[in-house]
Amino acid sequence: MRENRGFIWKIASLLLLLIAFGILDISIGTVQIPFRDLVPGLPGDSEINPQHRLILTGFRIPRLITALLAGAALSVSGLQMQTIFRNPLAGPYVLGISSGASLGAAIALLGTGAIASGMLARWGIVTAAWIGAATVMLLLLLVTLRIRSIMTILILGIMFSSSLSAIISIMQYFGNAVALKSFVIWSMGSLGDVSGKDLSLLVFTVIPGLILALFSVKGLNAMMMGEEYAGTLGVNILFVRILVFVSTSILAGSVTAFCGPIGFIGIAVPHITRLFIGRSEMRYLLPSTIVMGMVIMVISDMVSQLPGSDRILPVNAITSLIGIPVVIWVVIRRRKLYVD
Amino acid sequence: MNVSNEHIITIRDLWLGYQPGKYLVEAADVVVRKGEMVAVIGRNGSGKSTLLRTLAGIQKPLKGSIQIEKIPLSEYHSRKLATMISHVGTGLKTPENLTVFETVSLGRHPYTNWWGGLRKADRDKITESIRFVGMTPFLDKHLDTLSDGERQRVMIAMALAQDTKIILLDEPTAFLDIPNKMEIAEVLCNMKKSGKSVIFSTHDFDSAIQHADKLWLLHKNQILQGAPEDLGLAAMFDLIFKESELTFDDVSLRFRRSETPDKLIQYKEGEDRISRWTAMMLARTGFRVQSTGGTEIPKLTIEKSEEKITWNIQHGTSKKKFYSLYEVAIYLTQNT
Repeated sequence: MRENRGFIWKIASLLLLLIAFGILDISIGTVQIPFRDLVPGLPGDSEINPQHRLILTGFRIPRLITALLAGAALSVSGLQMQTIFRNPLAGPYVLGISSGASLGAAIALLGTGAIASGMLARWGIVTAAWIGAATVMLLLLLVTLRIRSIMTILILGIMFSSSLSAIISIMQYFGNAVALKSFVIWSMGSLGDVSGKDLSLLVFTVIPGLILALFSVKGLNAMMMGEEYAGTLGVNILFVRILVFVSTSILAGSVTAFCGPIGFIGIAVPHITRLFIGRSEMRYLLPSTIVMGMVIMVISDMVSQLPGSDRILPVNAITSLIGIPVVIWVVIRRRKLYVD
Repeated sequence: MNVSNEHIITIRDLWLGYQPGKYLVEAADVVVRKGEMVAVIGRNGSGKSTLLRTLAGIQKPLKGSIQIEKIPLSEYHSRKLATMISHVGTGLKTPENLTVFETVSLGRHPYTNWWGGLRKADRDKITESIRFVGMTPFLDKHLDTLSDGERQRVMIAMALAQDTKIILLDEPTAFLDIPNKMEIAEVLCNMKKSGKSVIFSTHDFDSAIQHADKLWLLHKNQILQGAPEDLGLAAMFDLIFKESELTFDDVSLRFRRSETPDKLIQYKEGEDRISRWTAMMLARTGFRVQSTGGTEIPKLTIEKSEEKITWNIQHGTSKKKFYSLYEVAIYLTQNT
């Protein structure tokens, strides 16, 4: 049980790190907000600067919550995909969820030709992206009911995803310049555009998705020794697959719909977590992955805001720059990738 | 525990295969008694794994019935079956970062709640299973750092932790060296003693003949059933390797090539170690031994002194001395 104590220490330090970066994340930006304004009830100046309060509640706290949800959701769906496909390079997007969402957004932005302004346009994009992701998920479930080999499902997912991307390219080619720019900006990913009703919708989709993921833990553990062995343990393989696909689609689908595609978090975070806690048991790995995903997403958000400047970089670029070295390291460290 | 008269597995008119018309096993009628150890033997592709996988409920038979404790296999709910039968196949993966304890704890799956949390009873069963296979010192070791033999023992512990009356093991001694094979065989015997019914497939005739209560010999789509000695007496072992010209030697309990050696050598066989190993070498290189003969037949004699052994060969007019059987073998194959 000495291992358990080590695990508790690691998780505790990760949580501390999360709190520290969380506070740092909302304090930096074009306006520096002092520490005493961040923590209400701190002795000293009792009055919070009203301007700071507005910045915090209107922009930075929603942005932080979005980062936390996106980090947790993408990392967990990546972990689920890597486990069920027994492939370290699988991520939340291998099944074409992100391509489905992108196609939805592309249809809303490029296909309709009409560019509605303001809130309506935003809801249109989010809804269309959501429908796109959900359609891909339903198709995938139909495939799962008929095809037994998990590797065949993986290959079909990748092919599916590529063909959707091809359709998007065609639409981009014919889209007008303004719509094209909106689409490109959407596809760069942003954590800053989710607030108000959007945010509560994101909360109410990501939380059930994470709960579903918790229910897949036992089945995924059994599948680590192969699906056939899991079957002899009484595990209903089809049920676990459906649980995992639904959970992943909800998690990756909603985050993509609201924030655009955010790359590499889903692939890299599970590996970083495995390295950090040194365990593969899902009962430990999945909760740790949630916290690690939040930490890394908050760090990416801070970097994207370029502290000290008034410019903001696309978050997708930052997560890729953090994630790609991890993926390269995984590939080099174990040349034998266990695809079979 | 002794073997009881009660049947734990009853197989009637069982047809196995992957498509109708192409059967691996046809109309098999065999039984397993409670507490019995059954070894499944047969050539590659004879259907050993298929038989075990069918008993485990992983794949369905094409025809026929399998009853586990008098209830048809197909009527068991998968979760209930998981508490009756455990199966360790050959295709198990070794995940990284999983400790021996965590691996064996997978066997408790049918007994744990939705989250897979372990209660004290589960932990006790896991540590007991690990002790049973002698892996207690490796409790916290990662699976991917173990040797093949150690990993095999962990797999067996997984089946033990599943706490089933029937344990099916597909080639538990494959790829293991002789001491590891013997240790696994001992673990299997202990499992039988503790009342489990064990069915294992193997290519290792020695251990099958020594330990199993019963053999299932898969040959030409049939399952021949009987005590190892019964099958031996009926010269059944010769059957399986007949096409490859192997015969089973009743004295050494080994297979050997059935072609008769065509080359002759003069050699007086003795009973000591040197003579026996020398005779082995002559058999291997294809020589038939006779005690006398003319000078055209090479004559091998052994000289033994305190410090070394010398093999002398007299062939025609030439006389040679050798200090190892390797040199003797080379000389004989080159010069006769």
